[in-house]
Amino acid sequence: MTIHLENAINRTATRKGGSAVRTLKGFAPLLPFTMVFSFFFVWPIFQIFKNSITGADGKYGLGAYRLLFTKAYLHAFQGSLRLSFFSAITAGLIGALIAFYVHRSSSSMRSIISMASGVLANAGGVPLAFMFIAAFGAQGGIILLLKKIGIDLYGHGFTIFSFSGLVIVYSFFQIPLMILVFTPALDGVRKEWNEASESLGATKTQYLRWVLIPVLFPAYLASTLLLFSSAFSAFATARALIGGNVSLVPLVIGSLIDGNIAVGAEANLGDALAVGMVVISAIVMVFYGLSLRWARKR
Amino acid sequence: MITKTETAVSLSNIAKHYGSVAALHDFSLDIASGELVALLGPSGCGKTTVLRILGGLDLEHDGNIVVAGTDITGMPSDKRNMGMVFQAYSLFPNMTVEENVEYGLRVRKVSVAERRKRSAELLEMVHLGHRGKSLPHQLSGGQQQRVALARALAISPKVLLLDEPLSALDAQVRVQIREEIRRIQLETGTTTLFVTHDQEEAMAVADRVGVMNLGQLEQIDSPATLYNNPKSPFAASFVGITNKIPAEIVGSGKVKILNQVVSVSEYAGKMENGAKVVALVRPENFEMVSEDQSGSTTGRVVTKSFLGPMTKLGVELGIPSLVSVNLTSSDARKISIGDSLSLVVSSESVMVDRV
Repeated sequence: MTIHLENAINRTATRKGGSAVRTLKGFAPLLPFTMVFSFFFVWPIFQIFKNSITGADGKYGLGAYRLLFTKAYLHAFQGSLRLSFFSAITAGLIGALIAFYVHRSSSSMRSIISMASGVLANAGGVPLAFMFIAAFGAQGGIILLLKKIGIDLYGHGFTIFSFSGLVIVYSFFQIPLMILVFTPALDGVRKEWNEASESLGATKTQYLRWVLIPVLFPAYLASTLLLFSSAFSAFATARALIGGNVSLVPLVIGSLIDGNIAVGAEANLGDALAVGMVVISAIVMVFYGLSLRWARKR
Repeated sequence: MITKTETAVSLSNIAKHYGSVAALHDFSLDIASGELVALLGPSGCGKTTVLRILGGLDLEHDGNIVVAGTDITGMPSDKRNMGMVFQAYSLFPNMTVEENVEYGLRVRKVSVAERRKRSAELLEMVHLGHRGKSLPHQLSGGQQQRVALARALAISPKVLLLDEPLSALDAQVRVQIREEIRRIQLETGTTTLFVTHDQEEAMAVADRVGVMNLGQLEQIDSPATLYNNPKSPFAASFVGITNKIPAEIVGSGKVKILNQVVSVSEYAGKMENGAKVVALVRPENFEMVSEDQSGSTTGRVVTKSFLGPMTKLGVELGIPSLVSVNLTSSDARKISIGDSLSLVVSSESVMVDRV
């Protein structure tokens, strides 16, 4: 009896051991991702958060966070949110229209546009800013060309080194991003829905109002939130284009890192601003996730 | 019981082409009121094109369409009042089952109370009365097709168009749903055109089955007539299993198949003595006989499949392909793979085709 019991215990232990090994093997492919994610994402966020609540004297406090609610820094958040909102709305609309065209075009045209979008969606940063300065700056090629045919944009108050200029430049990489993320949603629209609607007597407008727009709206919302998030965190393009002309959170953090000497609570201000950005991004991502879930149910 | 007398649908000399390819050529079909006609044929034969033209989803290049005495040629699909059920995934994913069924009534500005009543009735009819508040993705494929059927019937269509509605379902559900389609069609008396590539499905549900080939109607008849008296080699080989056995014309109206001479029922070619032809013989038209019977051919059993009341044998008879023979399971009980088997063609006449 005792021997049987021992055997049974051994077998169970072996089974449990085997199951643990299997579980570990299952996680093994995720290990490189987990390491990179932890090292480049979780750890920096943790450090930023820790620094934001640690004073120069090593004591914990919320002094830096109190500064966030002063006019200058609230203004920076407001600027970033406005820029993200307007660039997401603009690029979202234009990108959705182009995605609709892509969805209906031939496979060769489709692959050309998809390939170009893939490249352009990643073409932000300093080179993009300089490209726009060369084209739309006060002495830019396109501006001078337009001037020759009687359209003086700068004479009418336009400048690329402004909030609206930034919206245009951001759209340059936001529109391709929208095309990339929204086209699959359009591909999911089945022609049978339109035909069923038609055979049931509905007009095109009724089909649009009652079926197509409600079906696509969650995916559209998710895509626009992604654009919002991408614009909210962009730094290099804004820095190269407008410097300090428009107050944006990433630019303020940049200037704090660049050596503006800060003392007291201001010493951790950059970290607190970064935590503020993380919180806003996280909120946007939660809504993005919810929109995606809503879209998948369609 | 619905009487099928007056013509509800009349398609006359319909032609349709895609570029230089003719999808339909001089196609004509009449469907009686309350009748269910199935169009059967291989892929690309034009059967779906007929259905789409009748529904107004594609426009014909020539010909006329008359429904219930009204010429609807060229009329847009939203004005035709026809219910359609597609292969799959046609339910609106943003609407509940109930809202899907009510869609056509909402378009017609029917009051909410009346819409609810009608959708409840129809959902009961398709046995989904309890799923009104579900979303399409929460239903199985079979349930979704039942909802699609209820939605199509909600508008009391002049004609119900079924475009391979069972093709995306698994075998067991297919049989169940096709029986429901037939029950509901008989109950409502809706004139129906059913397109399928599955002959069993067509035979099981239709009053008449039309066999299509290369954009034309080869034959349209009741399932029994089509099976027993096919009018063309194509119809014979497409409907049911048919052995194609090399044969030879021996005198007027006679053909020699293996060691046996039988009459020819149908042949489009010239009856020249010695002409090489192919005889079309159904598996059930063979009879097991003793080896010494005149005209019999002896072969070796290579395969044996038990199908319940029938057993299907594959017999090597010295021709390139195996001959498929159906015997009653009681007759086939003692036969094993590798046994010798003597056979004769039991039917008095056979159809022959050019080689």
